[in-house]
Amino acid sequence: MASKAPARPQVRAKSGMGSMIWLQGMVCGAVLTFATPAALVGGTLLAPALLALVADREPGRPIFRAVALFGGAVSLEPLWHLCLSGDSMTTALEILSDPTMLAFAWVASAFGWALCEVLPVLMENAGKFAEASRVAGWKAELKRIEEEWGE
Amino acid sequence: MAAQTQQEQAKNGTIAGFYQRDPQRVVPALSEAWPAFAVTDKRDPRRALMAVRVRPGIPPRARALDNVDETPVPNVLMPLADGPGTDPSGQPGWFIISPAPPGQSISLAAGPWREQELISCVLLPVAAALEALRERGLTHRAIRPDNLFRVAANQPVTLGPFWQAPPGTGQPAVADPPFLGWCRPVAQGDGTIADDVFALGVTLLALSMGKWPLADVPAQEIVRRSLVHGSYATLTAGYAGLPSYLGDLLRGMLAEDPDHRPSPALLLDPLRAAARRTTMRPPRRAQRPLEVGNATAWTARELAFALATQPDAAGTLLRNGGVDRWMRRSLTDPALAGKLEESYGRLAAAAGVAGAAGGGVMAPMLLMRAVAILEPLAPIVWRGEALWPDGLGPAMAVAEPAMVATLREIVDEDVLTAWIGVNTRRTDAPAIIQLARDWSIWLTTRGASGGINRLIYGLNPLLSCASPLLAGRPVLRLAELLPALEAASAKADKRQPPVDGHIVAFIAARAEQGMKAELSGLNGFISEQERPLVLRLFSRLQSRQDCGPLPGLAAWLHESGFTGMDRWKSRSNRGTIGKRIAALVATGQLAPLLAAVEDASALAADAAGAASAAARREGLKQRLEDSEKRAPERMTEARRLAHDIAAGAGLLALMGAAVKLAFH
Repeated sequence: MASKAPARPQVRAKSGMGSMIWLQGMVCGAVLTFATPAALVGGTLLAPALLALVADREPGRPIFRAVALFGGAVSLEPLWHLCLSGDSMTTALEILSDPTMLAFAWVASAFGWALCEVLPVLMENAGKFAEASRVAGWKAELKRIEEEWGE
Repeated sequence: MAAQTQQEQAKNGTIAGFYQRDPQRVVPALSEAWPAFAVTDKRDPRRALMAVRVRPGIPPRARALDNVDETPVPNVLMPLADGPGTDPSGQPGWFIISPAPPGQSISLAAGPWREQELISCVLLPVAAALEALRERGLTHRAIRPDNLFRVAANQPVTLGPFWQAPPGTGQPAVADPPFLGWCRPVAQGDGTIADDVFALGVTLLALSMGKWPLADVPAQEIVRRSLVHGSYATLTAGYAGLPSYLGDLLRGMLAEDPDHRPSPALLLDPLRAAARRTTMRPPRRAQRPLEVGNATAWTARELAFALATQPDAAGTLLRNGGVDRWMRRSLTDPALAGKLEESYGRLAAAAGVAGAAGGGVMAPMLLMRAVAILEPLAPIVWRGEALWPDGLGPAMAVAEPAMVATLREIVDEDVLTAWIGVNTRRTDAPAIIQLARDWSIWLTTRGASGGINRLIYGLNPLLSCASPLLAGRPVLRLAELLPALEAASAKADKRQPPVDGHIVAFIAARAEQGMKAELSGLNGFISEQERPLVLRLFSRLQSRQDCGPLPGLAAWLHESGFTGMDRWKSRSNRGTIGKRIAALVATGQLAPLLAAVEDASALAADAAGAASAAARREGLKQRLEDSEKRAPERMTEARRLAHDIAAGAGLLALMGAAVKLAFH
């Protein structure tokens, strides 16, 4: 009896997740149908973000967030330009044919990824260093006390 | 300073400050037991003096040595001073200084003395000496021919030393009155001047005879015969040559009852003394004798002696009513029997064992009371041992452990109070009861300042301290204790405490009031509470006895942990105080050392610092432990923060791009 009770929320959670995936699929499908050039440009420029979305399994998907935001910052201008040009496939292909643009967007995404990889290492080491210096101070004080007052 | 000077002087052959060995002069022999050598007084080298060595473990007579005055006592070698020193062979010891004998001692082998010579050369000078001693509250108790000295024939004799050992030491049994001779010499106590008169009488008789009377008779048999026939009759039996005038004198001098003997003052007028007659009622004699073991009693006095010397048979006779029946039917003295019965009833009631004197102390207590009732002049009799109250101390001092246990019972069981309660002759009952109380307090005091050692030292004011820490140095007086420890410190194992039970009991017995606080806390000398007490005790002794610097003893106290260095928690404080104490130890002054050791405010500050350090140490250990435990958590936090920073930077870049588009 007791084991059946927690089973229900799990089923609900799975069904909620399924709805979300379905909704995302609907939005993607709508965007592909009604804004195919924009979807093409966005999908291409933000391909690293899509890749991070799939690969990042950390809670809160921090790598995806950083990659998407940096990639988004670079992709904002071409997408805006595409909108102003009437969302034509021609403009979209022009944009995509510019390797500088593509490289710039992907490098920005890579920068976001690199930031997520390097910054934790730096932060951890900085924390370790600070802690080690505190511990060294405490140990020195402990030694002084034990030398003066005994164990 | 004086005491230490004595110790130093002892090394140089000087005794008590002023007396130097004189190898040029020979002292007439006293006796084999008491070797003496000539000394000279530095202040007056013309005086012929001698030093008599006190034998270890045998207490000299405190009353004589503590009342030394320069006023000469006629015809007695009085002590002048005492102190540590070395004899001609270099052996350390305690010596008593007195004038040297004027000539050789009297020898019985020289033949019988004439009556006139006995009166003028022996009786009169010795009576004068005894009168002078009586005025000083002293007795001699060593009057015998070999302790009488004279310059030449027909010259008055001088009484020899009497102060170097307990009273009666060296006296032949025949020279003691029967109620003293009943006890071993060491247990006889000071006695009275009447006992000296008795000894003088025996000496006169021996000189008159040219030999000791009853020389081959055992001591107990002499006592028994004296109690049965009277001392005069016993000692003069078979001696037909006793002059009648001397016989009249001796009849009084050899009376059993001390009150019937002439006083020394009366003996100065021999005619009057000889003419004096005392009427003595003959003792009531029974129709039939009472057999007590292998002894036979016809009178109450004889019964008392028989009961005392046959304790096993006496116990049976007392319990089965044999004594009571004999006294009522044969002795026909129902009053005495009533007294005995009453005493027995009281004793049984007090013990809660009505009608039966069982084991333990009941039987000896009953016997002691019976003897005291039957013969009021008799000494205390306890488990076959006879003694006078003031003989208990010397008896305990020289006794074997088993005998000490027996004698201890006299104090434990308050025998003295019981004895004085039934003794009808003594008039000093309050003083005796007070003595018994004091002894009981000494014995029952807890810790090292009480117990059997305290009792023995208390009972023997000049018994040398038996502590092995003194390494054989004689210490009879408190002033010599610290200098002796100082001297012993040179070769002592300084890891061992410089104090033990003997030393504490010795101090407790000798010290005046005001040291109770220090003494009462001492027991094993190893607890933290006791160690400062020892230092305080020695410090007080040093200042009171004016002992001078004691650097060796101070070092001994320091090295054996009595300065309490382990009480200081802080290493730096220990270092500082250690240097200070080392400097004070070198000065040998214990009072400043004590002040440094017992600096209460510094100790409190040190303890507070130690408590604070302990709290801080615990806090730091907790932090270190927490730091180690929280390492993964801190890593996760740093990673999350790094990701947030990365996201923040991305958001800023996005906003920047949006703003750029908006204003393009």
